[in-house]
Amino acid sequence: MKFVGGYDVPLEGRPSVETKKPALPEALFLPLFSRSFDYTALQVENGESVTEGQILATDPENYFAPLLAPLNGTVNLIGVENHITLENLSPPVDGSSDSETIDSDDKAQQLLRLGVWSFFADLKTGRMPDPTTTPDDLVIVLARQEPFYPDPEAFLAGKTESFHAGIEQLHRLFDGVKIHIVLPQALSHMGAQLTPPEKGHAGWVNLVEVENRYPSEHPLLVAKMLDLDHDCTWSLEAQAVAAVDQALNHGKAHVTRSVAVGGPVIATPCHVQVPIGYPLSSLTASTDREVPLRIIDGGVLTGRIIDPEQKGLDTETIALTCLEENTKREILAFAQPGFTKHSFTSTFASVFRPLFKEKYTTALRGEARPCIFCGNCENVCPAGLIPHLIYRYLNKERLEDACRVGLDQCIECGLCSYVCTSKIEHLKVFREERGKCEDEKDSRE
Amino acid sequence: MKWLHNLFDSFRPHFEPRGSLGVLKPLFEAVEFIFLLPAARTANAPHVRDPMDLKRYMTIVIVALMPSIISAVYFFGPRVLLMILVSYVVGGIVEVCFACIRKTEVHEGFFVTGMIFPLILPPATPLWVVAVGIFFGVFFGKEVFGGTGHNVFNPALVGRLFVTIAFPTILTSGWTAPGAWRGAADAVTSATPMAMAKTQGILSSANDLLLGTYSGSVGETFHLGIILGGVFLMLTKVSDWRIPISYIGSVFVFAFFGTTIGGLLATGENTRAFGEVLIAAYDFGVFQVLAGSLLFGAMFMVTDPVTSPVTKVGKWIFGILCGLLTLLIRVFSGYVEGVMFSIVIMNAATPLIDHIVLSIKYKKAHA
Repeated sequence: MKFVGGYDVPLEGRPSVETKKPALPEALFLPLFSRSFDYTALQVENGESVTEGQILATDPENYFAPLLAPLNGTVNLIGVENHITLENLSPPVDGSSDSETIDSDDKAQQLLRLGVWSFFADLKTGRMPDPTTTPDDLVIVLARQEPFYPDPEAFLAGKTESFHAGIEQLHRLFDGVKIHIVLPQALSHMGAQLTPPEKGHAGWVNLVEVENRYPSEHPLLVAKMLDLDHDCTWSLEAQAVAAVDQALNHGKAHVTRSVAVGGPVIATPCHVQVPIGYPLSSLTASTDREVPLRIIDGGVLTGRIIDPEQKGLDTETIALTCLEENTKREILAFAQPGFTKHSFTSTFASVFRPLFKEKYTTALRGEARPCIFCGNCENVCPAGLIPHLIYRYLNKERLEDACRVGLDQCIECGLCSYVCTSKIEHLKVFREERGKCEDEKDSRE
Repeated sequence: MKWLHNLFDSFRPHFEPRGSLGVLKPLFEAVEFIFLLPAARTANAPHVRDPMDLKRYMTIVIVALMPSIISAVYFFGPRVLLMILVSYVVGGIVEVCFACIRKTEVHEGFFVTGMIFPLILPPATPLWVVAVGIFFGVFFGKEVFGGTGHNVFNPALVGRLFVTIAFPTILTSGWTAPGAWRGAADAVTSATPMAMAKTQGILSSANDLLLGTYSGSVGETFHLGIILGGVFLMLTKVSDWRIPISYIGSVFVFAFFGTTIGGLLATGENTRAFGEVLIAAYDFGVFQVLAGSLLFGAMFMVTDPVTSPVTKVGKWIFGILCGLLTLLIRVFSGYVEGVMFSIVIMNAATPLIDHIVLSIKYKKAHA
């Protein structure tokens, strides 16, 4: 399958591969929520002393996925609303590692208990899978090309052995699973390092090289390319591979991770190695100007706006992208030559200087209009869909037709909305409606 | 540029819903947003957006039309600018009225419609005919369908079709020789090449046709400039190359093979050698491509994304059928030019073409 469509947003502020380890803060603020979890069942009391890895709360709706204490400290439940504040922090005493070998049956439970399981996702539902089930295929995307996700050269530095051990554990855990490691061609030199021949991974580890263009690495596209069965394919966040090793071989909880902090308003975009609950304000405080900021959990195309009420890093975030909130009104924007504006179309003078990076803000850059069928969305769509057609059907509440023309195959990459001349919010609508296709199909049968 | 902000700020209260000119809010905002883009932010992912918007899109089309406009003023005099002005004012009033009634924004599409319409009229068209035509085109060609993005027919062509049928004598006597306005003799006759070919069988030379030194519609004579503008549109990806290429290509191919077959079947004193037949067929094909409104229609009118198919296969079918129809009307009907009719007819067929192409595509995908 040839990769069609896709586009790289040339955003300024790519995090360098340097990893910083900021000092321990006064307190950690652990949100009782994240993108997919709601930790509603509290397991600790106010004022209780907890140790690293202890369960603070669980999500009863999601197989009791836990919120873990990243360090030793004292719990404060009333300090910040919807957060557990951890005070009087102290690093754990070393020596608790190398616990007893764990039974194969309990391995999945162990991963769940230590906060690693929540990094698995079922390709069909996009949610954390049932820990009692196993996949036939496991897709591990090493580098996500959306600006900006962690760079494997940063988060794998010094952890190659752990990565190998994690891959072997996964192989043993899911009997007969085929592991597909996806990396863009630009990082192909890492391939040999990750799957060295002497490890004997050949046969069950498959190295998949994809084009250097967002979102060629998307698990759904890879699954389509490799003709994998969506019902039995899972994906795993790349950082979690080493965490699998740490959890199963050393009994360590996955509470500290490498987070990419980037964007045009960040003074020194880089990676930071921080525990969950780390105060967001100090991670994004290094901005060079006094401007209103938008902090995004994830990348600029698909990420979630972090509510100002959220004080600390949640259990799922691996990327923080910061943008300046737009407050400016451009003068005669449509008539400018556009040497400083990148566009998917070739209507700006920036076509003559393709290499520069642009300081994007959250500006809509135009007014909402009816669709004029310019075809940009179709040209950019990596799933080969016609987004304006799907949108038109959904607008007329013709869900059946929208599903027939491929709404269920949308991978929610956000590019159709990014390029839209009429500033139509395809992604928002598709996200809301996509899940209904399954019900629609069932009702037809 | 603080003064510009202040200027609009000082007028804005009058145009608020309870202000004295509240009804005209869309007009005020249209003018304001031309100068100052609203400070709007993205409300959800994607958090950043491409700088391309509808105003830029229409601006690029106007830029591509520039060679035609400038050559029109050179050949037919400053009166052309007056025609454009009338078209903009009347078309603009219709557009603004509808925006006020519908309480929506004024959409940018009419900047292109209002520019294209005068360019496809004969140079001596009276200004009141320009006004009536653009009124009809914008009103019945676009607004009654629901405005921008909902129209079935190209609004400029609807206007042109209306004045052609409503005022046939005015429209057919409106041809003037290029340069005549300043006493220059750029051309010897005011008859259009299409008319000369039809009535006298004379094919104008390709050179004259490229440079535009003959009579024709205001903006349709300088074919070199039209080609430049059209290529610019394709390079900037504002127009899809498939329709212009298939349209122009099919006109040439049908003209060439039609003449070849006709030449070979000829008997008696009309019999010619095979080589001569091919040369005549080639000349006829080139003439059909370069004469009349074909290039202008192919570069600026069939490329209107709203009224042409959205599917890639559909675009090819649309272009080829447009070419065939154009040639059939030119050769076999009482009219000398068939571009306008063929595009309007194919506009009507656009939903059907898309429907068929999409049904086949998605039936295959589900099979």
